[in-house]
Amino acid sequence: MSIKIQFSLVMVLLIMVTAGTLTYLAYKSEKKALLEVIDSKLFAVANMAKATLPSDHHDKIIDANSISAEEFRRIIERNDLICKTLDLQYIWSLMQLNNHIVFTSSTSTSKDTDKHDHAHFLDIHTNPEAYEEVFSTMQTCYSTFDDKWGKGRMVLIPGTDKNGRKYCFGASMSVEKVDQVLLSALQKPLRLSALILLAGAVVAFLLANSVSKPVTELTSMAEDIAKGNFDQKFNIRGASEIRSLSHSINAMRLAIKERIIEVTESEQRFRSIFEEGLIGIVFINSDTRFINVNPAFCKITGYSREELLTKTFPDITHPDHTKIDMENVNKLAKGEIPYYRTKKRYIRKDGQTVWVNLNVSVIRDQSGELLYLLGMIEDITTTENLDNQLRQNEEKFRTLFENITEGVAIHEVIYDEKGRAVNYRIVDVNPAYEKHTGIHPAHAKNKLATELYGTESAPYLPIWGKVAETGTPHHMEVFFAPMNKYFYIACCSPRKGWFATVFTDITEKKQLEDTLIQNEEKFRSLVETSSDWIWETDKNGICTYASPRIKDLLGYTPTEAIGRKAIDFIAQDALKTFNSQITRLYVSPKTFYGMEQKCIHKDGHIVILEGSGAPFFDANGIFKGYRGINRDITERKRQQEALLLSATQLRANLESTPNVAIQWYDLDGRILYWNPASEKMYGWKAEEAMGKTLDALIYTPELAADFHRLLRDIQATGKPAGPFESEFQRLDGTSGWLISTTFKIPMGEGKSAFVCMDVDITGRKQAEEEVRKLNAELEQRVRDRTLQLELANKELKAFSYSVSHDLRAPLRSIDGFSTAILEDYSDKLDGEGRDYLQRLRRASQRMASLIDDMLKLSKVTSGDMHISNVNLSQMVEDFIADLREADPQRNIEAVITPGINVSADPQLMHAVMENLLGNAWKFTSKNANARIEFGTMKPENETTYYVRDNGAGFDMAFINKLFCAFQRLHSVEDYPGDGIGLASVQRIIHRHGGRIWAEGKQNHGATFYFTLGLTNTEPKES
Amino acid sequence: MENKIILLVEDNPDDVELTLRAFKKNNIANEIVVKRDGADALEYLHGTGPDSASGSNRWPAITLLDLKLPKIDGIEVLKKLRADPRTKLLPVIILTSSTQEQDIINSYSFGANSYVRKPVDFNQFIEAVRQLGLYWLILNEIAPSGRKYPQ
Repeated sequence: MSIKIQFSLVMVLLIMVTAGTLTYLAYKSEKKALLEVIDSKLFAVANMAKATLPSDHHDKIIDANSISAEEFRRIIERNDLICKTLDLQYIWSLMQLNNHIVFTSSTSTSKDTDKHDHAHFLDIHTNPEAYEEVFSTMQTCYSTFDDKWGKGRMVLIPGTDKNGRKYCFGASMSVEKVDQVLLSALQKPLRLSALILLAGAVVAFLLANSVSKPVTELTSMAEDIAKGNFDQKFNIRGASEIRSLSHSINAMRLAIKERIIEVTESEQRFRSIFEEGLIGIVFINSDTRFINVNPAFCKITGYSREELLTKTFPDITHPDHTKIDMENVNKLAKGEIPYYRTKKRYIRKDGQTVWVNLNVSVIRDQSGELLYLLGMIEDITTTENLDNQLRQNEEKFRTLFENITEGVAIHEVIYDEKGRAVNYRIVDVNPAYEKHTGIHPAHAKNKLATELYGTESAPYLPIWGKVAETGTPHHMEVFFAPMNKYFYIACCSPRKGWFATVFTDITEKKQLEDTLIQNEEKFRSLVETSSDWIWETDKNGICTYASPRIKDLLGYTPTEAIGRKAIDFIAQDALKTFNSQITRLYVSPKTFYGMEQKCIHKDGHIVILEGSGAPFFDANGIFKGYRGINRDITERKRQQEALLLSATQLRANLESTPNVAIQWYDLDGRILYWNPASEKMYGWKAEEAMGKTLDALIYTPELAADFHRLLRDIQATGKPAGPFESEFQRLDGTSGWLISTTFKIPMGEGKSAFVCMDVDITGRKQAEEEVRKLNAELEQRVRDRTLQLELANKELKAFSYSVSHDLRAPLRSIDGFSTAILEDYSDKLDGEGRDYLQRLRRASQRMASLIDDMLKLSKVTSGDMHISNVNLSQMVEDFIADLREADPQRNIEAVITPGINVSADPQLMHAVMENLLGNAWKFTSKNANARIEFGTMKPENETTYYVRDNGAGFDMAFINKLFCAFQRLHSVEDYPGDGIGLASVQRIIHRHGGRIWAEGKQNHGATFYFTLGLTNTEPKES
Repeated sequence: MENKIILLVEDNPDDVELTLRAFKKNNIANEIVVKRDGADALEYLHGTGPDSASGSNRWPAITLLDLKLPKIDGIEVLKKLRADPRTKLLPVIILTSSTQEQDIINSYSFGANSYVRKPVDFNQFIEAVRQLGLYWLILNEIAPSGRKYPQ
């Protein structure tokens, strides 16, 4: 324990005792005072409790009924209030009654029910012993209690009632309260003592510090020296004794330091000589036993150290020398000679003898007593050889050093005093050094690395230092920033603390490598992103590289492809051809292009590849394999085939087209193709036409120029031209007409061909010309005829007019004057004469009737037509109704198809239906069951209307006369009529573009059919 | 009834004779003025001479007008009559042998009051004249003629 601590402890102890005593005394007095305060408080309260009760409270107590429960409760409440207010525990009173101590007042039971079981009037106190003292002495008692009601301080004040019964009043304070009070009493002295202690401790520490510091320093100084630190000088302040002690210690320190340095150095020297030297060193005791031997000696003798330590030196000495050895040793031991030197032989462990130079000296202690013999042994068997070898080695090394192309530098590591490598010195460099570093050897030698390279720290010192330390060689490739060069450096250690670097400037190689890497990357990215599969094989055709594209082309990954041969991917049916091709290529390597290979994709479908490749050779020109590129030409191939097929088909079509002359032209109008139809049409053979332009063949120069322009237009617009009609010349000089269409077809590479298709229309042209002429003639004829017709029509009209006027007038005269004769001169005429006049009149009237009919007929064909919708069914109904009315006695069945509408001239149709129905009516007049039908039928496209009756009919032999004017098939007597009815009907029907015909049989009725032209093909619904 | 004049414009003497006979046969005794062509007829109606209707203020009760007339045909005569206020309301009956539709339409268009075709059968003609006389001379009230016509 240090002086400082000891002193401090003593001081503190003293202060503690003082403070403790003081505190105790203070506490004691304080506690006493406080207890008195508490007791007096309890005394006052007990008295107060007594005072709050009536003075005869105890006097009147006889039994449990002496105090009512209500009154006792009030007492308890009051006491509770007192306790609460004054922070007390209990207030109570007891009295002796019937040999028991019973409660006569108390505090609340509710406050602490489990402990407070005495709180009922006249409850018996369960601990009467506590009241023995007060009831025996009848003096006020103070006591500290610890019972089932808790811990605390209480006071008991005794009294006697009128009946001489003893009672007492009690008041208590719980121990917690007391302790609280007491603790507060203790606080003051404790604070005081703590203050004293603190002050004391500070004082003690300061005192102890000043007393103990010099001593401590001296101690640490001594310890430092003991640890071997002799460099630190101490200046210790303090008492004069201490200062002189410090000086002495410092002097001692320096002395020890010097000694130690000496001893250490000699020890180190010795140790290095002993451990590492080539001289064998042995320590031998006086009875010739080895005490210690060094490794060199072990090497000379071939024994291990342990083996030698069990032997004496005569054991291994050649017998020839043992005697002399022993004599010399004895002389040495006796001090007759200081040392001796001899040449002798040892017998090595392996049995061989070895010649050594032996030098033995004696080492004694200070008293002169012999400690041991020191022997130094030099192996002279090998010295001679070794020198030689060394010289030779040195020469070899020198030659190597001088001539080696690598730069060589030998360095010595510089260590700081703590043995840390801090720098290195360039000891020697070879001539090549300059070549690699650009530094002249003379400039480099003996320079420190930092100054030679101008760097803050020696380059690679940690690495080289380690090599120099451990001897483990190291080599590396570095970028040497000070020279801005790359070097390959091999480093070894020729001896401890030294290292030699052999280095080559590889900057160029490095740059070359970088370029190579860049090129490699460039080509790799090219190869890997190319859409073609790039590959390499060895000389046997085995794949050594495949670019990733093979996956897309053949479905294999490069990894799958490498190691396989191209033939593995070839389709079965292409194997033979491919094999012969590929074999030739590998027997006599040469560059190949566009070699088609029918391959099978991994999933089984056929892929056509087009491969190109070139052989590559090693430096000696030996064939190493192929490198090449394969392209997927499946689609191209398919298109080519399709194109070829369609071209073949097209050609066949072109050749076999008989009537269409087809030619192909280039943009300059030169013929590229001339089909057989062209040969036939123009007379020029294909071989004659090819390459020529059309002006040399079929066109006049003007037409050929037009054609040439046409081709330019098509080229510009891309739109087909034609069809155009044009005249042309045949080879035989005849000319003809052609119709021609020309269009462009793309031929790839931006070129176009023009296909011209001609049809010979000479015949058609001629026919057209004739038709044109005929038409012109016809038109003229029609014009002429029309004019004639118009004139005739005009004349006819005029004729009709004059007929109606002028022919009737004479008839009227004839009739009128015949009548006049008959009336005025009948008496002058006989019956025959009157009859003639009557005939005259009839004839003239008949003629007037004929004229009227003729006019009627002509009216049908002249005049304008007004086409509108006509309801034929309704018209027929009306006619039948009219006829029935006119001839009510007739029984006629009429069958009329309703709703037949036509487009026609209503007046003309009225005439038609009037005639037809009138006829039917007329010719059924002799039938009992007459029947007239009107309806339609549609045998073909044309709607046919008919009127049928079952009347007289007619003989089909006279059908030709049926529709002629004024022709009658029946006598006027049988069936009256003028003979123009059906003629008119026929004319009206014809005017409507329709036809009319009849069927009939004598006495079996007749049917009249008519159509109304194409405008009435469909029956119309009204 | 006797004082009513009938104007007959007819070029054919046979027809004139037969017409007069027909009137006679029907006991129509009115004065009948016969004009042989259109010019004469117009002269009679619009002229100022003592023989003219206007001159003597003897307007015909009816005019029987043939269409086919020398010099001025019947339609032209009709047009002129209707153009003149004095003869505008004069009853004109076309009596002709034509049944041409165009003649009938024209006649009515230019203001004919009636159109009667002369039948070839003389008995029928007498009947026609009888009805004409009955209607135009007895039944029909004619408009006042001559200067009394409103201007």
